[in-house]
Amino acid sequence: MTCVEWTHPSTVAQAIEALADGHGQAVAGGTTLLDLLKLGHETPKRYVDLGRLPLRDIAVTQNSVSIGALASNSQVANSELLRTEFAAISESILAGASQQIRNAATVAGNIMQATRCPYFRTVDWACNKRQPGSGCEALRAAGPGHAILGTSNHCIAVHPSDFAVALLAFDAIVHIQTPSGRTSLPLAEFYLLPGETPQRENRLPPASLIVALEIPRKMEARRSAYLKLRGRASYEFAAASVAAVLTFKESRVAKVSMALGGVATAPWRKPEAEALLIGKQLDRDSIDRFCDELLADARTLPETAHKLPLVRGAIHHVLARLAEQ
Amino acid sequence: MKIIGTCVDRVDAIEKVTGRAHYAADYQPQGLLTALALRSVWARGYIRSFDTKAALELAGVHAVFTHLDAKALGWKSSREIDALGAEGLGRASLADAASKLPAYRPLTSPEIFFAGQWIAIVVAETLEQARAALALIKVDVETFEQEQSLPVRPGPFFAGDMQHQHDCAVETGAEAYRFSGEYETPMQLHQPMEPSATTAVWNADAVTLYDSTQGVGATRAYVASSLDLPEDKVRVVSPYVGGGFGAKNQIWPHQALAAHMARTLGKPVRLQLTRNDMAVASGYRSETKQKIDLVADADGRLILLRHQSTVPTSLRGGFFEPCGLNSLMLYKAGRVEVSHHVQRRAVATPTPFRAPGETPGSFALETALDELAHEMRMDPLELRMRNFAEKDHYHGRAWSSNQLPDCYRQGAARFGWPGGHLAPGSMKREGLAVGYGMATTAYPAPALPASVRLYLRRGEGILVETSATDIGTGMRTILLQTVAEELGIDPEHIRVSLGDSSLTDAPTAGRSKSTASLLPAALMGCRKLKAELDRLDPRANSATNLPGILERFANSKHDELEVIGHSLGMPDGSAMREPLSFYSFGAHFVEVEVDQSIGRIRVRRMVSAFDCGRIVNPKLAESQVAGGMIFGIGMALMEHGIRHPESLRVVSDNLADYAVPVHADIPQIDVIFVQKPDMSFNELGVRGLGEIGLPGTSAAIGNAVFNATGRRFRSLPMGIVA
Ligand SMILES: Cc1cc2nc3c(=O)[nH]c(=O)nc-3n(C[C@H](O)[C@H](O)[C@H](O)COP(=O)(O)OP(=O)(O)OC[C@H]3O[C@@H](n4cnc5c(N)ncnc54)[C@H](O)[C@@H]3O)c2cc1C
Ligand code: SF4
Repeated sequence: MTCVEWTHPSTVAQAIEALADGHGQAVAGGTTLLDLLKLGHETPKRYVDLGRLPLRDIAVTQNSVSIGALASNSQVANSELLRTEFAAISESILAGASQQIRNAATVAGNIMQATRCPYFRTVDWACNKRQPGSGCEALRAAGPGHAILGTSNHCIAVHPSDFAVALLAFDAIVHIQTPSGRTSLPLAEFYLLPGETPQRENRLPPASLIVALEIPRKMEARRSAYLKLRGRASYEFAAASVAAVLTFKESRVAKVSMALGGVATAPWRKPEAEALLIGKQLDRDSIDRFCDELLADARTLPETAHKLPLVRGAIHHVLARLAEQ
Repeated sequence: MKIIGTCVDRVDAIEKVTGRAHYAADYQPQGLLTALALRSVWARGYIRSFDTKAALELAGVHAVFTHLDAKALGWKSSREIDALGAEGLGRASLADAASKLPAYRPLTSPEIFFAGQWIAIVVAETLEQARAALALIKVDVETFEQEQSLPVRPGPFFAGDMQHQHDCAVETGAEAYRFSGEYETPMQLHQPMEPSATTAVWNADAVTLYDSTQGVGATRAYVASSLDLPEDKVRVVSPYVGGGFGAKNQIWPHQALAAHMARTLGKPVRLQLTRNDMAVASGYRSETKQKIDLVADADGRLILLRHQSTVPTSLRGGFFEPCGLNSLMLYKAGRVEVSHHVQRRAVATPTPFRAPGETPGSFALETALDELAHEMRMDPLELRMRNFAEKDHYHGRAWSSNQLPDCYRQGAARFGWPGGHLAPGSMKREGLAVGYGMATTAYPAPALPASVRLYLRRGEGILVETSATDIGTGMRTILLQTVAEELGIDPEHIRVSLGDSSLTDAPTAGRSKSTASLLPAALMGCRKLKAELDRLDPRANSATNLPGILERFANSKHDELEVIGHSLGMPDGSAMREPLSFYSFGAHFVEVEVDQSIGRIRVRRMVSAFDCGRIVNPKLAESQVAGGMIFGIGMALMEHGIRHPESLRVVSDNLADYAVPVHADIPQIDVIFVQKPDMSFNELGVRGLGEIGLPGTSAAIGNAVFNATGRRFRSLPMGIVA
């Protein structure tokens, strides 16, 4: 751990300025960053502590909920509105990490968290994401936690966030402050697949900050749920997870959105598959056809082959639960 | 006063939860330096050169040690010294050519024997400086392919014959069933709460080690000979140990290295193992491959029980999992065959881990019995009862006390074991498959000679001292109970001091022998103390019971009084009517719930009944065996040491990638102690119970999963598969 400079801006403008020369890195709760620091990951010249920025509120309007980037994971999970109107979001957060970590972790930090690929975290393995061009140890020796969707010949690391999966299912929008002004991006377009540049994980412009996450509200009655599967009952990342949001009309699916976690290099959604369910009753057949389409591009390795039936099982499970409600 | 057999709270609980208990790395002597090791990422190779310049130039760095400095460290080595350490354990049993070469010690040769080997150590003023310096060391290594060698057939190990057959006169009918199964268990990591650390402080020509060890005496012996010093120049202090499970049972090179480096640098040095180091520098349970063959007659009586194991060890070490130990003695079979093959590989040396041998071995044996029972459409409990060994046929001796039938009965009754053949998939609850499973556990009851010193000092109550360690088991508390009861004094007048090699001798805390070694010594000490008081003050004979020990001492003219009680270890065979076999036993009953479509297995209920002789402290005893059962949940469902397929380097060498159970995984655990004192073992009728909770648990869980779903897991962990 080499000595670095810390700054503590109190406005977003100051924070952006501290990031402007490209040598700064934002720190929110620090639950991802300090971990990596201790593991020996390269450190920036300057840490920009976001802790004093006024970005902790959850603002509700008729059309949307806007979550400040620095709202804590716990604060969001426990918000009455999110628990009732966006159950899958609250459930996704509560299914992650531990109470202490959720108290410290922020929502922007959560969707920006680094992969848990062991070869990425421990610095003396070859890893294209950590050290572009060095190779990908996972492609030689994959583990049970690697991805089956969105992979490339350069990286097969899973995106670890639970929360981002639920956000994606609710069509969330990422609001960003760049040095030249405010901009926004649907979360669906925020993440990049690894392709040949696994070190580039998202479209956040240089020297920019996420300031809020916005979730559109809908008038119709929606049901949502988040299911996370993992080997132990708590305190573990997902082996596979599913966030589903459904609107029924006379026991047929009127609208559906479903996002997958734990299996893909970025929170995963496929509108073409969702279209297959519209107007259908939820039964084994219709769900199977939906799964076939959603998972058509999956590429498994012997170490990850178990994920395919697992994620299918999870989808059936969640849809059955929502259909019953 | 009745205090043995009651639930006395752990006497050191408050120190532990308030942070007042000091562990090895908590000592901060003046001028302390911190040492951290660099691990090889290469499996096999020769180190051509090091570039340590940048590391040495970093502020706060005092030294970088590599094999080039081995001479300067004055590290003495010999076959005899090797045999005292973890790297030497089992070499006598293997007795192959590699066992005759010098045992592995880090920083002594340019050769790399496994990925994870320590190849350099940085000593700096702070942990952060040491960590930063490690990253700056450059190593040039000429790598080569890992060699393949033929498996070795080991000789006797862990007091068991590793290549064994015996026939036994049992009346069985003609062969009616034959079952063969192959089983695998993964590498498992001890990862106790407190990672190992040694803080070495020299004072003139003597050194004190604040160490995290299960045995201060064994540590002293190894370190002293390594330093080429007489034992009285080395003191090892380990009053608190944050768990060991075997990782701190044997003596590892770092314990000597800390002393060597401190001597060379003329400053106190703390060598701290990181979580990653704990996977390669203090042992682990190796992978196992096992095959069980069972042949039974129409009533399920075993005609043959064959248990073959293939297990690895390191290139220069010797420890291997003696998986067949339980198969040797637990059941009665017309013929028993046990064999082991050990394969040398470029891996770190494995070591005993809570019930070594019995733990993976009983997974195979107890799963195979369940498979046979299913084939026969028989109650698996009934199958075991029919093959109950009324004596130890392996040793050809009677049991000292074997209450296994009672464990089966009481456990089954408490659990509500249905009896009869329970078809797989026949129970459902709220859409989930429910299953019941059971298994037997057994573990030897050893004892070694030990000494306990009782010391009375005017106005100060009584001090109970021994070098034994309390690794979380509750040794402090049960010693206090024994002395309080025998002397009839209130526990508040008793202090227990442990874990210091300058105190009286005691064996290493491991293999469930401490209770039976130490309590008899304490008892003997109490008797001597009473006799001594009688001698000093013949008027008030202790038999009169009046006045109390402390008052009598106060009334005497003496300022202090000291006695040492000794125990002799195993009972003297020649003094017995017939030689006996000493074991503890138990039976596990488990209920699981399985959601097959999403691969979710949850243990819902565990009832286990144990025969461990008389129980000194039911509360602590229960927490010991329940801890073992929780290990079994981890083993069955999630614990998985993953190696890189080529370099064999441990990928999951940290607690992010190696899952152990959390609270949410732990069901209701119901522990029954049959409580039949084993009076031919020792006067208190006590046996150890540190390990007995674990063997069999993973099999019972797997058997319950089979009962729930019809799906048989022959390889652990079961993990998450839909
Ligand atoms: C033991 C453990 C278990 C965990 N288990 C889970 C789990 O099961 N599921 C799960 O989803 N997560 C889990 N997590 C991850 C946890 O959710 C994240 O660490 C946390 O959400 C990160 O938030 P933070 O505020 O601490 O981020 P930080 O560590 O401060 O930052 C993380 C990243 O986000 C960037 N960043 C932070 N804020 C902004 C911003 N406003 N704009 C732009 N960039 C920003 C930082 O520069 C950094 O790159 C676990 C973490 C740990 C340590
Ligand atoms: S999968 Fe990605 S993160 Fe993991 S080693 Fe390969 S490049 Fe690195």
